[in-house]
Amino acid sequence: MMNLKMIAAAAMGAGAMLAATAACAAPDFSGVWMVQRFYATGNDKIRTLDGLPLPMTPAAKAEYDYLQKREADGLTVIHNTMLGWPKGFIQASRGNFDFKVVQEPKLLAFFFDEDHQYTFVHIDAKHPANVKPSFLGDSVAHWEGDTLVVDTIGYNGETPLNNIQMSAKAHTVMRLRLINDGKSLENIISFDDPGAFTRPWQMKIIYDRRPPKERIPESVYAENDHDLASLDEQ
Amino acid sequence: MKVFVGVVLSFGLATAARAAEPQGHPDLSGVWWSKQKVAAVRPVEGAAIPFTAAGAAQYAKNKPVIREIDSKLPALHAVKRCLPQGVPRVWGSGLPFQIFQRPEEVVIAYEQDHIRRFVYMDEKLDADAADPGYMGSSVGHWDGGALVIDSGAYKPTYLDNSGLPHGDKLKVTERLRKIDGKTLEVLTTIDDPEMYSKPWTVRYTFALHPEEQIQDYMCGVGIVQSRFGTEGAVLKLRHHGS
Repeated sequence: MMNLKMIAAAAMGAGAMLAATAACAAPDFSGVWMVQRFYATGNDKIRTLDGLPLPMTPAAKAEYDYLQKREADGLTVIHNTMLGWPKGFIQASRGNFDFKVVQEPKLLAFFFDEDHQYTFVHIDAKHPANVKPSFLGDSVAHWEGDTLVVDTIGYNGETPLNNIQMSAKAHTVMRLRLINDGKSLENIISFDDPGAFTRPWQMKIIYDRRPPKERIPESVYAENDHDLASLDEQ
Repeated sequence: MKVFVGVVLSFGLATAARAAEPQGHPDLSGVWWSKQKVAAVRPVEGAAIPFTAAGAAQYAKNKPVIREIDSKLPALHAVKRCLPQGVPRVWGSGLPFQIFQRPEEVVIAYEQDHIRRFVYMDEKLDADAADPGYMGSSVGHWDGGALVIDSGAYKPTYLDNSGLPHGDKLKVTERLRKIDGKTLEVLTTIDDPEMYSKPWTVRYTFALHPEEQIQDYMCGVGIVQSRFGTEGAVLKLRHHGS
């Protein structure tokens, strides 16, 4: 028959289990988010955290100037949007569109409204030995306290930051954490891309939590490819 | 005291049960894969596809388009244009998909062209009010061990790679259930009175692949080059000096 000591021990054990679970519990990023207007898409919104000019390499600057001039001249800039190509996590999350986070213990899935892109971030995983280059790259992550640290390599050289083109050498690290009592999500992004930038630099994006019933519609940029036909004349 | 001990034990058991069967329903979450592409679907009933006259005529029109695709000519077609393939065609893509299961929502992420579907649980489908999409608009409910997904509001797609047509009023009902611990059965019922004289059902099965991860689908790169040529205006104008 169970005595008081045994019951007390059982209760303490259960309490300890609950406390341990709470201590180990990762912050819950689940929900729908949208970039704050201050950080939303636009060349002028790509700002370094240290306030210094963007350290573009001469080649990246030439590319940037070329695209800026096309825009200024009223010519079409052939963004990934028109080709039906993904823009990657950073640019997709900067658009004025929602994205949804589905969180599991070992995986966070980010579903973007922008061109029905998604990317999965595997917790405590390692990059494959031979990463196949892609628009979104290969992402692994780990928790540092309440911050999710997402390490991405394996970009294919066609992932944009507006009119700046990240190179295939890009290595990005995103540090995501809840702020403002969980109503906002901060993303501090570190860029290390010797193909596009002369030194590593950081930028910040803040996303706001959307209402719980917010829905992500189906957006398909490949439908825009009809516009490409007119480019032969330019 | 017995009550207290019972509560403590039940907490542990309930937690374990939830881990095995989220929300008390079968756990369909995970990566599923059938490596066989399904070129042409056939009714599980074994009969011929029950075309209406309009359906047969439309199918005859679609076939040359499909042949053009097969011969790699630049047809404006869902796969060549990186458009979502629609249902049931996407089930036969030959690529894996991952299911995320929540009480209020089930998300299905297909590797094919990074297609994803959000299935809102215990809501009523209003296909007339929903914005049309290639993957339609979907609601779900549990029927015993099966997840039942009702969908409508489709943009024009093909039902399969052979060019089976559908009309504006297409309704699709999918029943997803585990037939053993590692096999998922998907029964997809097509209800489209414009193209088919009666509803008919396609059956797919998928194996659980916990070791697999969904990859970044690279629709577009080779396709854009094949459509416009590597020396074409589009790619020349895209980059400075290219």
